[in-house]
Amino acid sequence: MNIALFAARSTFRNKRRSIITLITVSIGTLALCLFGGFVNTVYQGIETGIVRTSGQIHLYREGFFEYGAGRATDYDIADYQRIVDTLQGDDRLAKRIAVITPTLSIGGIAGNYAENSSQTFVGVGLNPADHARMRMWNDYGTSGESSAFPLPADAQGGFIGTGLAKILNLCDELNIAGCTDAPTPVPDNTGAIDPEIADLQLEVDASAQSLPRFPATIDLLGAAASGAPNIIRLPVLSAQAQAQKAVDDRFVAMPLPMAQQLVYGQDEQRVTTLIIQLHHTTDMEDTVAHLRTLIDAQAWPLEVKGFTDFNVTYSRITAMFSTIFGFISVVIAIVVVFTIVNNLSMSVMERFNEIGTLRSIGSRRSVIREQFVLEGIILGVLGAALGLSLGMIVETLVNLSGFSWTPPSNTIPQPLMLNLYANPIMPLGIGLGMIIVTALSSLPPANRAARMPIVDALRHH
Amino acid sequence: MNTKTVARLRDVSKHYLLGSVQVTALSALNLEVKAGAFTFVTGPSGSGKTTALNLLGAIDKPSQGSVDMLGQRFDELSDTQLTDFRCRHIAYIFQNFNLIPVLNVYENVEYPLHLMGLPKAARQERVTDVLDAVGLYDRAQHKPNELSGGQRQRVAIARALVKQPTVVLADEPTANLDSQTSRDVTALMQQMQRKFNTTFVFSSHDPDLIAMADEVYHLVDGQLTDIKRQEVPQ
Ligand SMILES: Nc1ncnc2c1ncn2[C@@H]1O[C@H](COP(=O)(O)OP(=O)(O)OP(=O)(O)O)[C@@H](O)[C@H]1O
Ligand SMILES: [Mg+2]
Repeated sequence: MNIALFAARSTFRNKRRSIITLITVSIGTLALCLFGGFVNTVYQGIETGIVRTSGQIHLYREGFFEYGAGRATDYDIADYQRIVDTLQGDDRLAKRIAVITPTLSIGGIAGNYAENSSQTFVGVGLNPADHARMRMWNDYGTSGESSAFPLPADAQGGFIGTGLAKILNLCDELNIAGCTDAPTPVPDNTGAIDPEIADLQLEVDASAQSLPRFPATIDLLGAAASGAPNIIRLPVLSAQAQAQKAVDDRFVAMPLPMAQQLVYGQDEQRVTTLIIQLHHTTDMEDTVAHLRTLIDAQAWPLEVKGFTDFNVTYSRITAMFSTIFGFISVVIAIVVVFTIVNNLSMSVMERFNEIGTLRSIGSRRSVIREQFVLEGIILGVLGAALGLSLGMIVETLVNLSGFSWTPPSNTIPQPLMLNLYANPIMPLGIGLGMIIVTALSSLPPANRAARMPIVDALRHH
Repeated sequence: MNTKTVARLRDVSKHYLLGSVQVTALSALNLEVKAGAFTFVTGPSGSGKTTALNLLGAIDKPSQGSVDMLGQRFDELSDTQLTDFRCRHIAYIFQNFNLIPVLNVYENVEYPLHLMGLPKAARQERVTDVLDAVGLYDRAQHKPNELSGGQRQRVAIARALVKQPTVVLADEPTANLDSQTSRDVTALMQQMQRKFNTTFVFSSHDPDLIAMADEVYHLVDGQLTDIKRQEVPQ
């Protein structure tokens, strides 16, 4: 008769009580699994959103990340095509990189002077074909389709945030659903335009005559690398909502050459960021390290940032959900502790006489303690196993149900998927945690049983 | 009869505190257990019989005096050493049988051998022998609650004898049995004593049991009032 079998039989001596305890442990496990699955999906959803638009890794000129917002051209990357070629020529990187694409951050004032409205803008010049490919990323399979990238590969214009479209009175022109132009344009203020800028404006107006017709155009006024003001006329093909209003109200995206035109004119064309999208985020850490060695070897003045660094929202949201998850775990652990302590204390009380008997015929205290801890562990293992199995069933049902929700960094609803079991580490962790909690909570009753004076124990019948 | 002393209470007193009142369960008792003998402790209820057996069985400690078995003083042993000592040398038969309800007959009898660390083959041989001897081999797979009182006490006897202990302590082993069963169980113990040459210490009021005593210690209120020695022909 080994002690484990003995404990197993003793565990179910009082079936009703043990079953109630089992149910409690398994419901606790189930709750953690479902919430854990949801949290995983949230993380994956946010990550997918980020990776589709910004990739996992950015390469900047040293200092750009900290100070570039003020004056991007001081921190731009010259001869970037050579860098891209070098990186693509590296076997280890080539295998892992899905997309590597140059981007130029720009800023200035966007104006729709026909409607007398203007707004500061935050813009990017990018390669539409690369970004269209980046939007296909779905490494976890839990996120739905992304909205298509608004620009075709050969786009002759850009797109703007719907907020900016409203501000610039372009709702009608761009045919945006649920968007109305600002009530009446602010009274005439064109008189204030700087004569130098007005000249530029005329030049642009003249050259625009030859361009094909677009639904709308805006004028972007920015500072060229030389320091002089520059202006380009950007055809706007469409508007697309951006997740955050502050961005949506200012966002302009355009093909890279147009942005470069604004900043560099006829000079050497540069970029501010090289965006890298990997096939799998799991490769990120390793790739970042490898990139750093490559960059050091070439003595390029570049720095490497992963998305958890360049996108603070991700870290904040994951930290928040982790805290909630931790809090729920603690609450569930407390419930489990009370249930196990109660169950085993009753068991010890009912079995005083048995404990006295075992001790009198030569069982050490440690044997008694082990037996009751083992009973707690048996309840923990069975409860955890039951909870994990139920979790698997519920996860499957939820994933088949077709519910949808909109994660924090998305603009379009995603299917509501739970995703716990794809990576076994988390469910195993929950199960193991549950077993550890039950084992620890069985210690006080087990110690009580082990320490009981034999003569007193035997007197109970 | 072998007259070697295997266990001894020396000037043993045991007091309990009930609130502020001190109850004396035993006072200055001297008792010797002879190897291979039936030693009895009798007396009215509350006279200290159970207390005396508990002290001999190393599950209780005297307030004064000392207890030793096989020359080993119990007060010199740590709790774990005492437990191991009980495991090797002392067996119990209880008034209420005290079998483990979740274990079947075989497992109940085998349990002490587990504690002693005997290998499986040795355990099997001993359990089979002793179950045969008490006539319950065919009940080996039964749970205690499927047995009669007499059968349960026989299992308890088998559990006590299987480890071939130095002393078997039996606290009113027949008190919960009817008189016929009581006589059967008594006869069985006598038979076992001859077969295994085991030393028994009983507490009992049962005249049938006392009839087979080699020595009878009579207690009243924790005081020894009389020792009867039966002259047994060699
Ligand atoms: N744990 C205890 N606390 C207080 N008093 C106790 C305790 N155990 C025993 N006693 C007292 O010690 C005395 C002897 O008890 P003991 O159980 O040894 O008697 P006994 O001879 O076995 O009686 P019985 O024939 O009824 O079993 C009794 O007065 C009892 O009340
Ligand atoms: Mg008694």
